[in-house]
Amino acid sequence: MILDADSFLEKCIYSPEGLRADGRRWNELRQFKCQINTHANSSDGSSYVEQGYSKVVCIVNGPKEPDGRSHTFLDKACISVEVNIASFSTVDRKKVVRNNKRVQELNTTIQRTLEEAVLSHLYPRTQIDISIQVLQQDGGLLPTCVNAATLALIDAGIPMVDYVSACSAGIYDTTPLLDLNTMEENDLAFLTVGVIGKSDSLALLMMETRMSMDNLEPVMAIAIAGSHSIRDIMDREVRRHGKQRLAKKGNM
Amino acid sequence: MKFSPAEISYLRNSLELPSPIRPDGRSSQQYRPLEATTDFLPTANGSARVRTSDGGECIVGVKARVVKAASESSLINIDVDIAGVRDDSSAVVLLSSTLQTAIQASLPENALKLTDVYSFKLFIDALVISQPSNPFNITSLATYLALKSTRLPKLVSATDDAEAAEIPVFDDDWDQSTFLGQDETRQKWSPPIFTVMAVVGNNLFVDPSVEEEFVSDAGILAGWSADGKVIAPIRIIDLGGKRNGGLKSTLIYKAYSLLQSTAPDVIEALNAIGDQDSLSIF
Amino acid sequence: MAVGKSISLNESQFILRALRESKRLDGRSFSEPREVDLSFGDEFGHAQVKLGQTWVVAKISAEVVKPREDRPFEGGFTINTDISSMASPLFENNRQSDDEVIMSRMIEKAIRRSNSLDLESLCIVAGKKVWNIRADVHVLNYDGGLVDAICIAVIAGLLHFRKPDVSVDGEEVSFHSFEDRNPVPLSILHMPICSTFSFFQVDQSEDANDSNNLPERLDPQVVLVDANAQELILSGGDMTITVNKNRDVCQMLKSGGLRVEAYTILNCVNIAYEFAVKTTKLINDKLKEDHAKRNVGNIDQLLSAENDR
Repeated sequence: MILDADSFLEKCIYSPEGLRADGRRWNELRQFKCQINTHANSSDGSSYVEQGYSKVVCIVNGPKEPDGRSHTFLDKACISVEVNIASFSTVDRKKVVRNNKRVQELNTTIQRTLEEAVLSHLYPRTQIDISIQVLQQDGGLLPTCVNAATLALIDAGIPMVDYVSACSAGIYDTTPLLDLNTMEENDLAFLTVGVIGKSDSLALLMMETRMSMDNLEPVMAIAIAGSHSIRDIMDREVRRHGKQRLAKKGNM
Repeated sequence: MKFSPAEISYLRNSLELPSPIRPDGRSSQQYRPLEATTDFLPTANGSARVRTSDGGECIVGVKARVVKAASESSLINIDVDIAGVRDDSSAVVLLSSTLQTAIQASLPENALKLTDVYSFKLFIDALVISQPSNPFNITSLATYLALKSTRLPKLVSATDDAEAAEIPVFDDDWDQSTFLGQDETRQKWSPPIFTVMAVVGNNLFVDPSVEEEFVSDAGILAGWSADGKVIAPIRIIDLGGKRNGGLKSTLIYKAYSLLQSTAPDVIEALNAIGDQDSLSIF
Repeated sequence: MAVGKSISLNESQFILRALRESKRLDGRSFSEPREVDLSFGDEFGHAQVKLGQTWVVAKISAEVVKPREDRPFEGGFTINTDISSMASPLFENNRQSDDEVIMSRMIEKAIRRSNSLDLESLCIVAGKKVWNIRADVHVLNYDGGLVDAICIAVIAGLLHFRKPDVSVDGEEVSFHSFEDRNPVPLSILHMPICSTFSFFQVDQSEDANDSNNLPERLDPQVVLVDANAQELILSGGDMTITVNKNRDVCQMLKSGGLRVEAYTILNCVNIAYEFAVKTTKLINDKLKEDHAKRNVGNIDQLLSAENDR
């Protein structure tokens, strides 16, 4: 019985016809929806990102007066990231403690990735607060958070080298699969990459599951390509928003 | 937020007048405009988001789990998380404990009952994303909306399992589900709402803004049930203004009558929001 | 001398300048890790690793506990890393910095999440009694390459460890002392080995005239394997790759820091693989050596049920 169920699941992940459980092909992203300036009244920059069923709100405040000496750097801004995972974000309710190691690691990883892209030396002795609220999770937690943070930083008008975009990819047998959902993340080896702009150089690389060395190259390649597509979608949204604002100004 | 002495004296004087003038021109029983969305999280049984014009925002998700009723001390679990505030701070504890007691007390006995053994347990998680003024109002309103939009799947297994133990089985069809408190077989129920009022001199103001909170003597927190009753607990809370120890008893009475005149309208407006359907917040 | 949070300008310029001329202060080439010095203590499961000046001790212990309810067939495995200010002024007592959290998560992922210890083999009576294996790691001195050293120490400790033999008769469980029956080793499925790479941007020369005198222009980005503490302070970012000798990458983490081309990373993986093969062999050799030392009286053969037939 159990064996049957297993093989059934196996088939679901990637069918011989080349379709995944949710009907995508191997190189397809999930629906990526994003919006900036969603919390204009309460923050300097904000964004909302949906990657499939993963939904994230990001709010940026700053550059502002630092919270204390430990947040003050003489040569650059201090970027602090706080990810908050809502208890109702998973299928089974799970309360995530705020200073749990996994969340702390997530905070630090996002913070360091963004530090590479933000021109923080322009704002010495200031602090930039990034608060990320995870409303729903369906795989790709880290990439969704990184993408949302990038958009919110852009909305806040903080100068950056280029967009930081992140995407995950996994391997099924010998086929690389792009942008995994929770079900696929549970069963496959996968990695997350983050690139700055449209380059092949990685600012972020995280892999937590075992993967054969020989599969690394195709998986990384497809994840980078996915990140580039996400960058284009984000860019389109920023431009759309800019045009909309300009049009409003014109009417005034 | 800091105010200059001139600002404080202006605010205080205009709010203390026999016919007070609020800085944003509202009447004393008027809420600020707010924007609300419900049922936008497919993984939750019910969800709601409330935003106010000053940027305050609260998201509430309700999830139901099947439990053995006998082993649970309460069928309602409320968890409030205010961004940037410690989980054990007094604001968070006050919010969650007040909502917990009030909702639990108002809930009819059989509202969540499935069988003799099993029952639903509701996990209500409120997330206050930003809170320029007191977060109580938006959290209460969002909780109300989230509970109103909560749907529970239809039970297809037998309801009587006193003799033969049976694990409840539900209908897969989500269209067969019923809204919490709207099921014909169970008693009708609507969750209570809470209102924060600021006291300045002899006047009371519903849904105070940051400026009003800053010059207030104190705040009164009172609950209102959908069937038109004032409900416990009633509390005098600190809104961050100056404290002058105690309030005149007439103010408490005034608070009741103010609540009586505003609460039904608020509930009506909230119910109208709940009827709209939406799948995404933005 | 202990290396603190920062180093002097002189030193930093000297090191970077040397890197531009393809030299490292300790005379290693860019892709050459330090020699691993592994030794075992008298007790089972006590391993010491020295990597340059970095000095790490791991001690494995086992106790019998009740399994988790959702995993009745699995034993437990916890890794406890103690990084105190004894190792370096970089670390504070009783407080974990961001780096330390990332480090302990990395070790956790490299060893525990990659399933190098077979948890199901730790089951004694399903749902009632299982072994809980605990690895306590102490960092005695710090000079870079901490994750690499800790990982080797824990893996070597696990391989060296012996738990008492157990016999189960229905509900009765009896534990045999080491004298009574030969203790049993843990079942280790694979040996993950970590390598840390550091990235440097060296073309930002402090004086432009000088750079003309350089014999040849180097790649502006330099990748160092197993950087020491001084080099780590100056690095623009690092990456840790965990590989085993079966060509499985168990864990990779590069959180921020200098951007690195994908092909450079693939190169790093190959270097990490070579190091893993070499280190795996070293651990196995040392284990054999230790085993031979313990077996002077040839007890093994005496206790063995095998015969020549």
